[in-house]
Amino acid sequence: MKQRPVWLYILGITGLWHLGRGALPDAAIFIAATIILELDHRGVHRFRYKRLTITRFTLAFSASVAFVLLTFSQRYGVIDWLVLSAIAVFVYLETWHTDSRRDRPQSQSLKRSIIVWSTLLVILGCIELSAYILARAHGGDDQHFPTITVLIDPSLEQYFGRAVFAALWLFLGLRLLRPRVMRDLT
Amino acid sequence: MSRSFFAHGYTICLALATLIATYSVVRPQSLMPLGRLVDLVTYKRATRFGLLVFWFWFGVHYLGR
Repeated sequence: MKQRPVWLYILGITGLWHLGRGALPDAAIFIAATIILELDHRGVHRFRYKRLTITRFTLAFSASVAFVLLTFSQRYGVIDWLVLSAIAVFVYLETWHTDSRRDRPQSQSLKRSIIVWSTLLVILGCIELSAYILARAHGGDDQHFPTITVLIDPSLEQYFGRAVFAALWLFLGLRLLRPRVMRDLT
Repeated sequence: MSRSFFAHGYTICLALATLIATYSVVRPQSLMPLGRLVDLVTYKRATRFGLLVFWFWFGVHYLGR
């Protein structure tokens, strides 16, 4: 039988963690993603779409509009939610194409890179988790035991901080997604 | 004391990430550069999807919570 992808477990555990701490919107994202991966594993083909192809202009224009709205709209407001929902639909349609290459080239540098980056992420996760658990154990004292959110949240209350975050976030997303761009018909 | 411990911990992780990324550009034969690594691991749909779910969650968490 085909093995379930390891990401199914990572997303599922993360979803349960958020559910356990009462963060329902966060849990909903990860649990929905887990269900999608599970359905895909079980061969529900109707979740498979042809990869989107968009023009360079459309991509640049959409990213710019998203950047402006996320930066200047009221934080946690309706506009933010609308933009993020539109991004979620786009990302889903753009992500859900079949594997681009079946034979992934294996090399020592690739294996080392995966180990090094994974180790660093696990260390970061452990520090963050320790801060969260210690803050809860001390009656919600997140000033002495700050998570990353507690540290960077004040800067996101200002336009400059939000602009930097939104720009970095959108850039990283586009880099991960690498949307298929066709030449503009000019 | 404990606040600075955690703040330093995050900063050290960021500094290490910068060091590793720089090293991988200088010595790509021993450590694959981050961009190439991302390109390779995101060939698989589940990996691509998983990484983008975490990326999307960051946006929701910080911008639209």
